[in-house]
Amino acid sequence: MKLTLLINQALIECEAEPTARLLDVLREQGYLSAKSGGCVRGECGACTVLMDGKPVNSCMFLAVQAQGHFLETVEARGDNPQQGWKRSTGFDAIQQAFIESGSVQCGYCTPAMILAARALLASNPNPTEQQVREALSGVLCRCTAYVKPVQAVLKAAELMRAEPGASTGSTKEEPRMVDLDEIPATLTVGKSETKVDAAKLVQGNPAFTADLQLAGTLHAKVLRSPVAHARILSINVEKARALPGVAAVLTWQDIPRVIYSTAGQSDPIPGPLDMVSLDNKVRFVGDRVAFVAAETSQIAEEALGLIEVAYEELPAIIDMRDAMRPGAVQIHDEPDYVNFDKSDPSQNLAAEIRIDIGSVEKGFAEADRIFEQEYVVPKVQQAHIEPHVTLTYWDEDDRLVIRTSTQVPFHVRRQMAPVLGLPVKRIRVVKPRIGGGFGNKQEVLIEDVAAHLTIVTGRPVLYEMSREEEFIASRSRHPMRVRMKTGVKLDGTITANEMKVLSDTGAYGCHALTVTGNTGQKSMGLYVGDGEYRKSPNIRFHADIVYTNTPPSGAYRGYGVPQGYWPLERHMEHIARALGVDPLEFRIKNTLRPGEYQPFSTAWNEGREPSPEIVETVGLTECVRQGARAIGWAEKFGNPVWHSVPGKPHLRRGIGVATVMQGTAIPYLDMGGASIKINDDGSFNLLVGATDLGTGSDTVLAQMAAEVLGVGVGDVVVYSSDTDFTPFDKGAYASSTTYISGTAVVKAAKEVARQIRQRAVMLFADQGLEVEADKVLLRDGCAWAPDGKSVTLAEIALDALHHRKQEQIMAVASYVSPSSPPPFAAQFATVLVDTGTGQVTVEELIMAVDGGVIMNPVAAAGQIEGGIAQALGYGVCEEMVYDPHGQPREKDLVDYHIFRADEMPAIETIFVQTYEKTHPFGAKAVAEIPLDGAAPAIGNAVLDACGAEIFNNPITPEKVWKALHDINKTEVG
Amino acid sequence: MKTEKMSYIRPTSLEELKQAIANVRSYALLAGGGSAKPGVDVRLLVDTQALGLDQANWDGQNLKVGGLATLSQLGHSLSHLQDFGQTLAIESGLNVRNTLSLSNWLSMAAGRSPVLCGLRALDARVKMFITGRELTLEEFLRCQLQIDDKLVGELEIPATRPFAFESVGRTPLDLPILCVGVSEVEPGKYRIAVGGPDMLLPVLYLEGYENSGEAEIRRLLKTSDDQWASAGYRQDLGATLLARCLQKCIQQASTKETR
Repeated sequence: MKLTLLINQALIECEAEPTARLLDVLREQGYLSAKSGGCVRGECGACTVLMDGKPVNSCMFLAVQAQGHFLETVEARGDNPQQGWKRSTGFDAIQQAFIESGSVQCGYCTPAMILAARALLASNPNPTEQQVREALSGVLCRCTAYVKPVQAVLKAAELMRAEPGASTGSTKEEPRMVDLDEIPATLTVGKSETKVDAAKLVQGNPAFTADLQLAGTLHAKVLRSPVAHARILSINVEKARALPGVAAVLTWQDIPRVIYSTAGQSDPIPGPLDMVSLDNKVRFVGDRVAFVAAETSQIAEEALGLIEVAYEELPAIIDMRDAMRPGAVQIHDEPDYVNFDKSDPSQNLAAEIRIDIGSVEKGFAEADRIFEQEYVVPKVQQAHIEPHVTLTYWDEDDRLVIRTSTQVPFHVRRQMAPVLGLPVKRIRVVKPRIGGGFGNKQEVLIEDVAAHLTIVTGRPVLYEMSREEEFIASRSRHPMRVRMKTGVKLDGTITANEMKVLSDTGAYGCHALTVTGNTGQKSMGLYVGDGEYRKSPNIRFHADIVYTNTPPSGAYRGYGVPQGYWPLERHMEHIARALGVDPLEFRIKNTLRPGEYQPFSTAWNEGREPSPEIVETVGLTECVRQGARAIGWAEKFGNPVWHSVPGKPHLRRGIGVATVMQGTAIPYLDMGGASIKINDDGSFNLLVGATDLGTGSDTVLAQMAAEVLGVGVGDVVVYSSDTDFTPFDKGAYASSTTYISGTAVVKAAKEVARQIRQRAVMLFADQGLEVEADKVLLRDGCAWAPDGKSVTLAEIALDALHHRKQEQIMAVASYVSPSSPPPFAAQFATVLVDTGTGQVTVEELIMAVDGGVIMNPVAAAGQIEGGIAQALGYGVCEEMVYDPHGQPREKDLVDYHIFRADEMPAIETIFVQTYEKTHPFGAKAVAEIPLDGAAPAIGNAVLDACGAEIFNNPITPEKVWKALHDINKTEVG
Repeated sequence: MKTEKMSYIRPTSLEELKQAIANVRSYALLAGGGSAKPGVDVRLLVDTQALGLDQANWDGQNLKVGGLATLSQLGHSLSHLQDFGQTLAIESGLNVRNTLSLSNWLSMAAGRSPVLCGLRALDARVKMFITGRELTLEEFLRCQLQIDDKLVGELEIPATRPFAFESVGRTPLDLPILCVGVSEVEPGKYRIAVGGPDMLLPVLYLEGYENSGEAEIRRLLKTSDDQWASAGYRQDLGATLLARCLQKCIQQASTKETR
């Protein structure tokens, strides 16, 4: 039917089905700023538009209903002021504030937030912070913790009111920086440069995977198993294939069987190969059964209902403790299963880890007291707002293009080649903007679905997972059962520390070994004891990673380390209190110090030869000091007056801490490449395989290049993550981009700088000036002779490209590191516990981080804030639960609660800068460490508040209530 | 989806609506923003937004709010009931409150809905639009699947009484593990609604200021085990929350905070 919509003050006439959603019609008409979060109850808000001035979810209206209303999208707001000869008013105050404040990370929800802010400020030009938070409450963000967006809206309001004396300065709020080492002065690195991608994202420009609309695109859907474990006896797709509008239906009988792993990792994959695109067996509720491609997603959905499947149900293993019991059903009995290391599918064992450092038996024998306890950590979801989405098509050269929301484009290409029956050279993978990944997109998860359908139909195919599919069929954090046993002297010296883990990899073994290896390596590696034990620590880490009939676990930011710190830091707290030792002093006494071996580096390297490494920069003690001061530890800890709330005896306050360590890249494995070339105007193209998923890596890499080349960040144009055009990079994981890819960038930039200096010498000679190349300084877009004369980079470029001895000034470089200098942090938390109900309200979270030299403080603070918010959820509310039949409780963002803007605690970030010599600018990593400490710090704060010991996160009200009624501890000593 | 013969109308009166659906085999009423999609066999979409059902008015004691008013509008109209605002904040974020009509919301509200708990405590009444049938909210919830008329025309809410609401969830704004809503229907007589468990629990009445209601609410929650919480916890919690609500109601009554 014909529709007439008033969008951004323009009357738009279009044709649409009567039941077409407003969101879909808007996007078809080119208003791509409204995004799909895959949800059905409007819970994410990414599709926000203004309807008659109010923010509404466009997924919850049909387009026909919107006729007669004023619709506004972010496309109506300002645009880039630089558009050639065309004059533009530029960005509006809200957009500008979002850009300047560092509020834009992945950008997927940014248009929605901007519209919500616009609606608020139109009716309330002087809102309070709480009113801003309420205005943003309808837009879920997983990147920012809403910290900077709230700041941006308040600043924009101030500017729009144009009050006398209002600051017109920057919206940036810089985090507190404390320098532990001397930090060399730099011009660009270390500055909070505006993100290079912010401008396009505040405009809602079509930058994401699903924003590319190709003619003839089919829509894919996947039929998923309703049962946890079954063989497919028969599958009849005739009715589905006969449905008008269906282009293809594929089952396990239609495509070649190629065994692979979905884990996006370097070759050889450090895990078993146990996955095929479509199998004749299903292994969890949600497992793939068939693929459909159709003209519309509605037709594809209808076709799914016409597929007839007969299952032979098998016993299902839901509890990981049942996986290795004698007689347990074998989940992987396929003859083409490929083992890795100690995997043994006959025992449902995906991986096994046995690490012994020193002698824990000796250490326990020498201990005055021994503490034992079991802890359980849950399965949780990354909950990125942009679902997994892939578009595949044949290009004009009959090469398969996979445009996909991925963190690992090069791994996708390599790993998909055999699955699709294509050589690597016939596949191109392009990563556009990603609307969040957090590890869930370090997975070759859905590219094969769309690709198989493109192969069979010859047409472009778009596959976007629904929010329910994200919960039942993507990946998650490994749930684990962790048994801690620690021996200590009465003075608090740790003599032996043991962690035994049972880890649940779910139905497939992706990341089984490497995630759980990290659990031990980066948590247990922090505590080495004191005195003689520090020189020769006694540490044991044993883990079994088992298959169950639940959705597969995979990579989630932190990559096994949060699962280690919940039990470890809760355990350390319990020990410190039992000994009567101050929790801060206990940690400082026993944790790593500069110049010591990371103990696990002497014994473990993911199945490769260990590479012993001394940790040179350890700012942990200063992190503890700074964080303690910021939160008021001395005034609060042990102060009964602070712990109580006047007039409300049922309320108790508590304060807690956790000290943590993460990793920076994987030594001798992670490799990144960079290519830099000069343009006619003296600007540069920087091509990197590194994958910016909203983390700001494009910006930080540009800063490093700009620093070396002596230009502004705006003179470095970054293009990343295209397997045809950019050098290899292993992708965005293991906190490696700044450290590994950054060093590759610097190497390339230094070579380009060398060529520039050579060309400058020629130009100086034209002026009669003899200059040695290594005396030429690059700064402010010019090359400077020692006597102060200069030539511009534009002159150099024109000379090199056009005038004489023509050459393209460019360089390619790559880097792999022999070291992995860990970042450290101290996480502090205060809570308010209602002892009458068990409800815990987290009031304040402060993290002091040693991430080396911080390349971009505002962007890095954004990473810390967003990570803390995810860790907060891990601490108090997030979990994925299954009934005895493997049916999930959580299938949407209503039941799986992630924090809204109007319920966040106060968050503060402090950077303690150490200078890490192994990086050209002293950097380590900050991306994952914020996931590690909040949950145990909150657990410790709850203990402090009311004595409730919670051993299994999340810390739900019922658990607190139960603990208050029934304390259950085991102590042997 | 077979939509070749699907048509769309936006009637401006009840008569026009009745006429349009009189001879149609299968139609769907579009009642503002919502999540439900029309079924594949629908032949007529009837958009009810032009029927004037988005208004809110007071008749002295009662708020009458149209079925196409949104949750946000409901909140604005009941802004004098501070605790009712809390039910809305927990129910959903601002976008959904701006989008979801009361009619659509009621069609899917269940035991975990804090707003439903609040309205049940206030003893709201429902008037269906097409048939004019009037029901208590309790009657509506019991038999809405059997009611042919799917369009809520109006909610009538006695909203000048003392009202209190308490909720416990995993976070300040998570859906409740348990919530309790109390309104004082007459001096010393309280109507109590309990939400949180998936199933709808019967409302309770308490008489007398000295009656804590603890035994009654414990009895009510005795078999409330579900995937979110145990009955034992909910019983304890229910008693605590009820006590807090009653305390608030008494305080409100004594300070005459209501309109």
